[in-house]
Amino acid sequence: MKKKISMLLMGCVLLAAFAACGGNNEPATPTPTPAATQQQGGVATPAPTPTPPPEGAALLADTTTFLGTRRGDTLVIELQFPIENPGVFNTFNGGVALTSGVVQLLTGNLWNINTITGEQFPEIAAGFPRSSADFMTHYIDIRQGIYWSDGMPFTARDVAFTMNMIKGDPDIGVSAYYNMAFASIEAVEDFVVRIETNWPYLHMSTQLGVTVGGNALRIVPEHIYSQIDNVTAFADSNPVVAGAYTVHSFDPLGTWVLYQRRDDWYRSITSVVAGGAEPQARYILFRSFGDDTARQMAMINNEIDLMMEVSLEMLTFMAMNNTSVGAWYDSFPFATSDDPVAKGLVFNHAIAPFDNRYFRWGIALALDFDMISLAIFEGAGRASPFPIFTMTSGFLDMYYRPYLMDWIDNFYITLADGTQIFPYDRGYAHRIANILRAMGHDLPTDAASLYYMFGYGTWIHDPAAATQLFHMAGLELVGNNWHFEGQPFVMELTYLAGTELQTERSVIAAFNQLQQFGFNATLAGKTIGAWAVDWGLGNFQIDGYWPWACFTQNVFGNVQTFDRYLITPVGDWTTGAGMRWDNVRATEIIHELQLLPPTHPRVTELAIEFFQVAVHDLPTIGFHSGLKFVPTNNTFWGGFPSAANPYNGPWWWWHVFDSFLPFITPHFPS
Amino acid sequence: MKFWKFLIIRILTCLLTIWIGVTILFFVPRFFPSDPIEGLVMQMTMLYGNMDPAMQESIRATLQAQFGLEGSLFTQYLHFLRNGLLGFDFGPSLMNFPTPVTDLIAVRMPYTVFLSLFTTLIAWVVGNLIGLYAGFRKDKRSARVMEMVAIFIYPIPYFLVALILQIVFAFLLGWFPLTSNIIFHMGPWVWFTSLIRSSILPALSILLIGVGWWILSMKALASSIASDDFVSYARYRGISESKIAGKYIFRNSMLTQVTALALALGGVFSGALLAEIIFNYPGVGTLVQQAIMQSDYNMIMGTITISIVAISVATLLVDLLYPFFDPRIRYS
Amino acid sequence: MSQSFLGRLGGNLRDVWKYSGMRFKIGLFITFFFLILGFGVSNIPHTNPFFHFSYLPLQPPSATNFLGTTSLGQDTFWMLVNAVRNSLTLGLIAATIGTVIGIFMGLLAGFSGGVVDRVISTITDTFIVIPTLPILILITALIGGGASVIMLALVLSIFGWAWPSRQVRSMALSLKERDFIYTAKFSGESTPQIIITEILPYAMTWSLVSFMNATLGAIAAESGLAILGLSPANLVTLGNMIQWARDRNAVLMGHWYWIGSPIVALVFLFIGLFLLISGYNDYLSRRRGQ
Repeated sequence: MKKKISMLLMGCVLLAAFAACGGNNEPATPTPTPAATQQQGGVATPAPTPTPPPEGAALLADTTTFLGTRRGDTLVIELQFPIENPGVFNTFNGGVALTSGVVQLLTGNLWNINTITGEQFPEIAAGFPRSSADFMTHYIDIRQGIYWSDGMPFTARDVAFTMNMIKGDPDIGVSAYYNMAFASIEAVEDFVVRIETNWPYLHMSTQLGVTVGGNALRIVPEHIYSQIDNVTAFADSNPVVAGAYTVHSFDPLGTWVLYQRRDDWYRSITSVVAGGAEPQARYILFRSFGDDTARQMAMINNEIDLMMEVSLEMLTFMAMNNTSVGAWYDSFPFATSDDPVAKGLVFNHAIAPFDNRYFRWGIALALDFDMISLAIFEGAGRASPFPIFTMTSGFLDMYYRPYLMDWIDNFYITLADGTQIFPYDRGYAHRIANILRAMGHDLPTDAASLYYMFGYGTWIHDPAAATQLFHMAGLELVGNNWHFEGQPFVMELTYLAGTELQTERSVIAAFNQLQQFGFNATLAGKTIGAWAVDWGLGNFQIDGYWPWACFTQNVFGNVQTFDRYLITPVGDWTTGAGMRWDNVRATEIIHELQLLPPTHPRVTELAIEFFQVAVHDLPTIGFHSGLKFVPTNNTFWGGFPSAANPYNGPWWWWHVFDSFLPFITPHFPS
Repeated sequence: MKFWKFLIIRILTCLLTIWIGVTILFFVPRFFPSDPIEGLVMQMTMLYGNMDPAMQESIRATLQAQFGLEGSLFTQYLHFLRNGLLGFDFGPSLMNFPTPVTDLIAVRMPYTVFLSLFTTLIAWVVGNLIGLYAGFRKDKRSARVMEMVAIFIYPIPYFLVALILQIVFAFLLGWFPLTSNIIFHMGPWVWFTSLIRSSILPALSILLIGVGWWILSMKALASSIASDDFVSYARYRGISESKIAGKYIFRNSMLTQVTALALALGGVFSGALLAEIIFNYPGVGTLVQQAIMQSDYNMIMGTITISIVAISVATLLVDLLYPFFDPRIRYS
Repeated sequence: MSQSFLGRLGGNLRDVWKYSGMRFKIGLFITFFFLILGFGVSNIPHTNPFFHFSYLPLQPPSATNFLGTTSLGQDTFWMLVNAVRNSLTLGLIAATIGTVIGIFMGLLAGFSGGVVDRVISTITDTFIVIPTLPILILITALIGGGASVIMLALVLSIFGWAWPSRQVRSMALSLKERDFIYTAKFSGESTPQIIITEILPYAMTWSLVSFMNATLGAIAAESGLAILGLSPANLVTLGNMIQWARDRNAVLMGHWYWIGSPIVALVFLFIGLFLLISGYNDYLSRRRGQ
């Protein structure tokens, strides 16, 4: 593999020396293996795929890492950034690097989520809350058999202590909220917590448990933290944990953290929740590798087993140079499409003409989604055109296939001249598959697999209808330029720079398309601080943010910020409702959902209606559901979540990673 | 007497410079529509998927109280002047609350200084020697070759040089680690060797790019001085070539080059940013970058105040040392 | 009057061509090549190289696409031409403003001395000691969407004048003590006169190098912003072109024409400017020697 790169490099050096250009080195299309897509959601059986490790790996597995651990026993995970403030493992300290193993390996939440099925499951809790009829008193049963790493039993008192600690310490972010919401929290028995709330609290498991990536309520050991005076300043460099791993050592400069499996791992949250299953890795090393080039080369050198997100181009290159490198699929399109936030365009509904339904539909029909898709990740990814709802596997099973498919096929918009436009285009999956086959990709041919890979449909590309819609929204075409209210019309597109590649590329591709359509538009990336302020104050026109996330059947948590009573005028601060979508029916639905128990049958009906209201109004335009290229290296370790073995999504930086631990197995155990 | 008067005035202007500089630095970020608290709340929302608006509001209020940004801008400014500028206490890093900015900088500063100071000095010495030679002996073939090499190297984008070094020496040949790895837990000798091994490639990349400019600027200076009348006059008087090079040309061009060096030294604190990113080298540059991206005011002020003070003091020293290089300059 | 001026200029140019060396001629050729590419060729009608999928992606060089296409189906050649135009404009404007203000302030400070020197030096020093990149990032974040080439050039020149000013000042200080200045002063020349007749030619050599460096500095600063993702994303510049290729992994994937052409252009642009200027210096010193 190095030979190939040295060839490439020769060209590079030559180029630098201006001797010659290195010839047209078209990358060979990787030979894809037939992707297994039979699992479309549903609980998977843990059956690690036995990909044979490359020859010679056995010898390498016996070498030691720079930390003195055996390579074959050490799972190396990439840290995206070096840790600025190493040695902080207390999640209530603002300097903690949460995703450097802290949320994944050390702590636990009351409830966690299976990101494939969209079902929450009890983690530290033994079940879902038992609530009184008025939802003012709640009992939470705590799992028995969990012990802290110093041998103390994990009990309801730890849970009650943690929640009371949050209540009592105004320096903890959610403290004010806890004081508002919870009247008292008490351990009434060894393994039962009683919570009295100040209002009917219907959504306890979603507010206090994980629905997507994590939750701020992480239980701490009472016998340690009750001794600490200033909890938010406490570093906790050698933490007592309930997770399966303890901190072995860390780099004072923040480039790595080494975790070691507890000897009594069978008494950890991870193992108890998994029914006694053993976390397989003896050591887990989180380590940063720097720039994209170094990361790719380290992966090719088998120095990394599990990587942070990369782009399609990087994954393609790594897979070309190391056959052990794969991802959700082992070949194109590589990525999973089950991330719960579709990326696309969000409009500021407080500004004309973005507040006009016809304008937004005009934009949707003016965009050629095939081109956008090719520009973002060369056509990879499941189309998810709907506003607010994302086409995850769970959503497909729970809502789209049973309730929405026929409705959306028959949905139409009436133009000024009376023509009916049916904007939902079901042909996308086959069309893009044909384009990709022509580019040399080997793709499945059956419709189900293609729909799973590329989505059920997109908004149609119809420039003529779009032009009519823009006229209906009050825009005029003067010569070749669009005018609005007598002025030349210039659209501002913005995105959060350097944070999320898919969003960034989505907005850039849309900008390109809108220019090709004939709009005068500008494009700007913003830093997160500036971006968040503009979002709250409404200082944007079209943006690439994703103010929704949806795994669960109960969509309340994901739609609650679209409440019109949260909307403020542009220039005034709003919490949550940055896009200022003002829809009376949507708000009524949110208010009704707020008062329903999470599992009430009416929840589904309301979610369906919310979907229909949203599609009619089109407050946002979705492009693809969240694509995650999470590279895995099969040389020393196997059993990562994948399309063939989808026991969970690949997001190891979320809290859910601890449930992967029993499945990720060493090829060369000592 | 005259010297003391000069010294006092010069020190006062130096302090004035620092004061104006940090004042601009204090106010510019605050007048921009960017807020670290909103950034943090947003990052939390992204990780957790979605948050109850009431919970978001609660977090926001807490952060506002903690960060102490709620006082008037002027109060904050006075506070900064008193604690930050005078005491080098810049308060907690907003992104790593409540760890003090000074602590975070102190851990990384030695590594940045080690890498950048050495490379800047070496590049300066080597570049100026070659430049002097190339300018003084500009008709020689070797001088021309050296100049041509400098012309070719200087404009190559830094990242390309760094990548080529990384690919060749770390990946293909495997002589150096792909990513910086300074090892602490195996004793001082391992620490030292790992530091050296981790620093060579970044240092080399900075050196290659840095040297080019010194060669070109010194060559231009030297050749223009070499064609000056007093040099020809010195030649007529039969003064040896080496003496001309050393005494006339070197000394006359040094003024400009020493000033430039003083200024380049200021870049030591933030200049190696790309090298730190590409080689994953632990340093202050990445702290500055992250701080700007996330509007961590205290961290921005901390890192950049140090940089401003360092450059100001360096230029002050150069001004005071001028007369030793060139006695014709008087303190005035 | 204008006739004779033009005649004299023509004569001068002929003179320069005749007496200058190879170096100057090569530099002139390369610089002209880029000027023609940027300001001439770019006016020939062509498909907008910013638009995605105007052509098939990743095509090798051909008669339609002289330098092939990007992975987004954009024509590399026309993108390069537009990038050269924008980067040149950006660099030249920023460098001109920076160098002119810098020389003026430096000479003024160096020769006036006293209070004027102190005020100017303090302002200059302040601008020098503030690290450029953080402020540039902040300002580009503010101007964000509407950033045009000229606006970006103005932003880059905010810091561009300080370094030249300081260098020119120290040069002036050292020159002030030279015999020939004393002689001039003694013979009754006024300060402006001395600056123009005696100092400026001397400072010119250095200033030209500084100008070239400022041009490249502005172009490099823009690519620095581009690498951090903060150069205006709708502006085709050499920096953005390199960054876009890098973002699509063109370096490791070996898309040489795509990643290579802006780099080669950048390097040759610099070499051309440098040879031109140092060649012109040679010519001047040769003439002085006559």
